[in-house]
Amino acid sequence: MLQMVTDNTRRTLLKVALFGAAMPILPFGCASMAASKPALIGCALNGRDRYSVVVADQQGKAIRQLPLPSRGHGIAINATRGHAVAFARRPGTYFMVFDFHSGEVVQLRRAAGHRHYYGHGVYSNDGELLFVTEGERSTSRGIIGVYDVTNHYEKVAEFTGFGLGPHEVIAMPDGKLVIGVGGVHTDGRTPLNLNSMQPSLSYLSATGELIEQQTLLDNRLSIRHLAHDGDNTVLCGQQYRGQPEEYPSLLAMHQAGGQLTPLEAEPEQWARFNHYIASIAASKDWILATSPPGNCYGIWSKQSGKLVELASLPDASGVVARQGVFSISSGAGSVVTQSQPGDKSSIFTSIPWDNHWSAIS
Amino acid sequence: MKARIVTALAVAALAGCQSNSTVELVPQQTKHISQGVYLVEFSFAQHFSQQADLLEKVVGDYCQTGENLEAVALHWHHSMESWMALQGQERGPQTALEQSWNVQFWPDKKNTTGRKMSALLRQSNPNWRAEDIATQSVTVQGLGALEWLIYDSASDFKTNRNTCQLGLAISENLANNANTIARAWQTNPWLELSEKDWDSEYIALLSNQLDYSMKKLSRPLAKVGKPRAYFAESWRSGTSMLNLRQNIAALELLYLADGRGLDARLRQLDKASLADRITEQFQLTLNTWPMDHSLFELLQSKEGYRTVLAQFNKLERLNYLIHEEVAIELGVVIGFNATDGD
Repeated sequence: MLQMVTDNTRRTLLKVALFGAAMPILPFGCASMAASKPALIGCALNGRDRYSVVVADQQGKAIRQLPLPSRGHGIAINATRGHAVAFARRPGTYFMVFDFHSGEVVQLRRAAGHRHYYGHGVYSNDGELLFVTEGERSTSRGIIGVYDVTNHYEKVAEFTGFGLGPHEVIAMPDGKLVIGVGGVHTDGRTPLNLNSMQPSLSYLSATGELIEQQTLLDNRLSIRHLAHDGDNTVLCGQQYRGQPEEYPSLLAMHQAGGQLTPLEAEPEQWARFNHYIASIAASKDWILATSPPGNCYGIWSKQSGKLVELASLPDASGVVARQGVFSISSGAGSVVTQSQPGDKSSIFTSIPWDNHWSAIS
Repeated sequence: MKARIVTALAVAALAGCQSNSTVELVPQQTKHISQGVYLVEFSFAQHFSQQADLLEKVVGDYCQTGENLEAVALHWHHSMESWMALQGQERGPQTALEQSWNVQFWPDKKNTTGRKMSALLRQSNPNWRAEDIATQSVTVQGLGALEWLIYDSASDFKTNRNTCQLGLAISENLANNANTIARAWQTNPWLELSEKDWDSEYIALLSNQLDYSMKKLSRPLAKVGKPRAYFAESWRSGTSMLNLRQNIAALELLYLADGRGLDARLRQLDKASLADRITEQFQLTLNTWPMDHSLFELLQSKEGYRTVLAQFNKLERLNYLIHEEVAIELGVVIGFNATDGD
């Protein structure tokens, strides 16, 4: 059975490689195409077992879509080269590099047999390297794969030694890498070590040295999703793997050298997030985090660390902050634009957006 | 046609016939494919608002006269029953969805409601107003807080005027929120959706509410032999099983939508067999629903546990039919982030 799945995946990968490169990209809305400029990219669902990556304008309206071999997750963007990367959802078997202006597939890279991807990656600030969260299938040993953009995305290095199950990696303005290390050893998507998991927020130098590692008091809080505020503050969002009646803080702030500071809300407010944060973004004053299983998002004051708004949004998914304005996507197809608590508008895009969005800056 | 009449009667029955002080709201008239479901939702929301108004009135009367606590309990229960039609909703007007959390906080295994209500009472504020309550924790804003006041042994609702005033403020806040929900449903929120988008939205709507009902059983059932009865929704009043029956009855109404719902859509698509299996499963579930009102009590014995488990299995079958078979037939995926995020 496993063999068949593998063969199917291989065939699908081949199909995407051939068709993605050769076929013109199908637009969602032809009328507005000429005036639309790519601004947001996210993975999406096209129907049962059909997945795509969608390039959208600043309102979240689709400009073009590319089919994906299987469900995608995070996106990395290299605005200088016009490249974007869609990463397969964990345990991921591929990442796909494409030109977000033309829709041409630049490369579809498969994971080695004993490895898988965790769903996220990021370009270095100069756009020369791509850093990807990877793992060893048998052990979940965390690896950051380093790929040379200028040399056809050849793998040039691997960074290790920070723990099991890295999920998201981001690049700080000073070039350091920050990794949300989930700490969970998995077989496929089944966790195997919840009693002994060791999550951390790990900082690596641009050359892969582990320079700082922070942990939360409760080791059942798996650190997964990250954002930074454009400066030196890192935000991390957690998945709680402990007792269902406990509602700990699921978000923390951190500055290099300091302690992780949990953001505040009442337990009954955290209950609304259903133990899971998917996407985070920060503006100068506000932090916004989404929870698809909670069908909601929250906004915290960066200054006070306190929750100031808790809003309903069915299947709340990706969020990005651009010039102080948040754009929030939904698996139910709507897109909310919000600059501060209470001030929002929404449109319906008809696209079932997946967990994350990335903005073209 | 028969289904249409039966459904119309059932909506009326569920909506009740009591008089009320609520301004009669008017549903939007459209020809959109969602209109049948929208009208059912509208009537649910209107009914909940009416019941919350009545509850506020009887609490006010009780605080003035100190008489007829039974009426307070009865109208609390009616409000709770009418809320079951909207409970667990994740699709609909944004303004209505925003209020759900304020109407009811569940699950509350750690007795957050009791602790926060006790803390409020320690403030000994004799002049609680609805506006004060609206700024407090959701645990003291809605139906659960009122249940605590009426039924919990730590509550002095029956003997303390200040506590009664707090109850009145909470019931007024609940009525305000229920009214906000009813007003939000004056507009059909789905008019922008194409037929395909509506299929997804509708099935997600049913699925979310069914999923919530199943959680109301699975959380207290916990592991076989080790139930966690305090997860039961209305353990203080002993009415969790009654609530659940209302959940399923309301879900059936949404499924039929007066002949314009999923049942009709499946039959149009030549899927009568699947539609029959779903209606039969609804009927089987409702017809065999236990007479016992209290889930908390049922979970105290092995036999009771088995009874509850049997009902849970019936809901699981219903969930399979809607979440899997219908979704596959219509080619939709439901809340794929919400149910299977990363």
